[in-house]
Amino acid sequence: MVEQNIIDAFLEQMGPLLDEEPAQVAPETAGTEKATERYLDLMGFQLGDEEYAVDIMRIREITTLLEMTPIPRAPGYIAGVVSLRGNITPIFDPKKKIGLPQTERSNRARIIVLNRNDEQVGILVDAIIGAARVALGSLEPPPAVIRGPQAEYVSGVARDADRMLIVMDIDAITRVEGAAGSWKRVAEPASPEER
Amino acid sequence: MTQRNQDKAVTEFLAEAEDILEGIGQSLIDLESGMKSGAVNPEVINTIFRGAHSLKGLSGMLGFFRVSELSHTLENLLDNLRLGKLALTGAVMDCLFESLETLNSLIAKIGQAGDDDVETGPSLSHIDAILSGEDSEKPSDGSPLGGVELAASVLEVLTEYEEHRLMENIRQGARLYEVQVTLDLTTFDDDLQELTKTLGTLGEVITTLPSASDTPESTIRFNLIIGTPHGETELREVITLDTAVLREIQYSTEVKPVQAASRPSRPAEQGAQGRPAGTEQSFTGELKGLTKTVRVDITKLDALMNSVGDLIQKKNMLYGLAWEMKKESTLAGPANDLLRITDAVDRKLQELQEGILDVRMIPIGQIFNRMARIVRKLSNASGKKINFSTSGEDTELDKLVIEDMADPLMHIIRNAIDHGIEPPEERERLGKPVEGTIRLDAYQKGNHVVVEVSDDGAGIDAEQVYAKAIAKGLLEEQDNLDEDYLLKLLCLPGFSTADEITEVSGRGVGMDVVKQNISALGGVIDIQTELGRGTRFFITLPITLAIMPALIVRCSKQTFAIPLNAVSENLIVPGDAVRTVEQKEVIRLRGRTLSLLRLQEIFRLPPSENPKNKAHIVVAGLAEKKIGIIVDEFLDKQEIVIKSIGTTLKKIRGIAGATETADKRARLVLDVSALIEEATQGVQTA
Repeated sequence: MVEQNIIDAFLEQMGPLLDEEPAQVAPETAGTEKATERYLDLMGFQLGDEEYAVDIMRIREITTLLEMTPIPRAPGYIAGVVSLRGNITPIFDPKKKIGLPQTERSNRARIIVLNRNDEQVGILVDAIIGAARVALGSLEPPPAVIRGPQAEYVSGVARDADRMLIVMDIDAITRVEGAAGSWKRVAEPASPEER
Repeated sequence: MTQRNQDKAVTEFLAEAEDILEGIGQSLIDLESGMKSGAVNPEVINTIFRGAHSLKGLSGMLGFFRVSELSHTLENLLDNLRLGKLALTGAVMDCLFESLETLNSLIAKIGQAGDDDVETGPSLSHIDAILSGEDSEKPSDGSPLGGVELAASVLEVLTEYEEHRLMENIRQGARLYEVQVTLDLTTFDDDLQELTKTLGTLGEVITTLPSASDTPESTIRFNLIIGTPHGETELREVITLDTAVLREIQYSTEVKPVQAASRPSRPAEQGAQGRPAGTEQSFTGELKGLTKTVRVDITKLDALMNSVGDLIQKKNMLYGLAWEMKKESTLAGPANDLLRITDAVDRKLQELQEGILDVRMIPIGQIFNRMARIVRKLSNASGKKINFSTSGEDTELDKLVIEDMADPLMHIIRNAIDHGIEPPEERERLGKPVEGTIRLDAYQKGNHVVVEVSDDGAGIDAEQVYAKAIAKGLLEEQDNLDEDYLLKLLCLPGFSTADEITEVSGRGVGMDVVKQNISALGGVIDIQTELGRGTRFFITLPITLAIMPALIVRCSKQTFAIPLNAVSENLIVPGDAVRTVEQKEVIRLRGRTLSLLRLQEIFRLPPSENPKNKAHIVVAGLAEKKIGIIVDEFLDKQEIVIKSIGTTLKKIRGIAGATETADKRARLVLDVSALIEEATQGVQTA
């Protein structure tokens, strides 16, 4: 169980997002079925100035920054690979993937190691904020305010009372689109081998 | 049975059924070649019979009634063959192969959908048709048992099968002997088995009968009847038991049929119980053999291998620690102890590693058998006559490598039949043997296994391939053409030399998929072709993928591992030895030109700080294709376990995976065959 003050602190930090939120009425079901309500546990983290959360059940571990081995020819949003007790783990940089401005990595930076199918992948985050619990019924599709490329990496928005949490779509953020990297040398003519 | 137990039982059934069918497939091939050469080994029919019998039992237990019905019907057919009531003809062979196919589909369906809902009607009626016509096909040889110099008491107790084998031996003009042995009751089991085995090398043990006649106390006497082309002296030489009494059984060859026909035929399913001691013995012998093997999921072996790999890295750290300690004079004593212990651990780890590797190894003959069936099927379908031969079936490869080789091999063989081997009329016109030949040969070569697929067909017309590739817009007009280039063209996606899609090879998979599959295994494929003479494919594969020694190199401050099985030598040459020919860097190495590739360039690494006056070159390559990879520094040699860098990243060319080195860092492992391809492609398209 997470201490209540951590959740409060987390929700407080999530607060500013509300300012951009157009007024919407929470679904009627929220709050009426308290007894049978199911919850979603989230872990909040920072990417630059923005705050996101992922499903806690998908997290394998959270580690401090490890030296990463860069992968040549991989897309820029792949920060590299690390070996976690022998498990080779690719690390994604969500800021590059989403297109957020790059910021200095401080000593609060962490790697969140997540389950993706049967493998493990990591995402680089600037800081961990803490855990939060929201009612499952309060999950909504991303509102119109999250637009453009960002929207595809958001699996939903959780409402808790009058707060809003942006839940990151782990599978989308750790997906490699199309043929990975540009492995063809520039000098070479495009051959039909490229798919 | 609970659902879970049921699932587990089905999984075990599937594995066992696959083994049985695999075995039946092999036996059918043997049976057919025996039929063609006129010398059918009766034990082969018995093996198939036992396979069908086990399958019937297993499938019946789990309620897969279509499987059990078909295997039961098949068993009837085989029983008739065993007893000589049915002659082995091409039609019977076809029927047997067809039944095997149907059984394979049934098992596949159970594996996919959990039910055996596959049409079995045609196979069943085919068998019934053959069985009902059996009288007309029955060989009309006389049964000369009446003229055999054997006591009536012996003749009476022979089973129908033994009688048939006795007649068969007589028909073939074999010499018959009776061997009487008196054995100690406490050891007669083993002695008899040993004797049966020894005699089996010289001929056929037709029956083993216990004898009731006066025997010394605590002994038992057996009469064995043997059919053999050898004489008495040879037999005496192999029989080591001093109690053995040998007698040749005389028979006259021209006698009239005796009681065989009047004896009511025993229903097939009673066969097992009705078998006399001799056959029972060999039966239980095999059952014992089976229980000694354990079926293991390959992923469990992978997990074990991973643990061993991790242990090896930990051991390397222990060595590091010991050497550090040795530097402190006060710690020298414990440091030496630590070194000794680590040495011992190292040796045990090597044993463990070899043991696990050994378990993963299976003979490649398994897929050769599958290929033999495919050749048979396709040659029937295409009307081309094909003689299929193999060698090196015992060559061992990693189970996973073998599994992944099946599809590429099948495709190459399909191509050979469809495009390579000419129709019989044409072969005759060309003065070639009417029967085309396809060979599959496997052999070990250093750290690799080479699989050769060759045919004596038309060969591949490079000009035609080239014209076709241009017509299809797959490439621009170019001048230079060589065999290497031909292979690349064949492996272009969407390339097919057959103008129309045929049933045999036109299944939408091309040589590009073949090449991809082989590259994924760390192998390379080469081709040799001669117009009018045939085509040869050489597939070179690493023996195992699980653990391998690797060369660790540095380039632009990054560390990479290069599997040593792909490295032939390391060179440090003066910078001016590297010359540029047609915009490509090369060096001369023992009179040959070696293309070079700068790792820093192709991976777009930051510029390397290494001085230009020396070049570190890793000469890498499999089979005939070699390139030099320029790096900044050679570091050391380590045992590595290649791991995937995840499904999300596996498409990156030139990187086979990653490994954890002794410093606990993740290091990338180069995919040498992909790099070679890139380098050679560069030469030809530059």
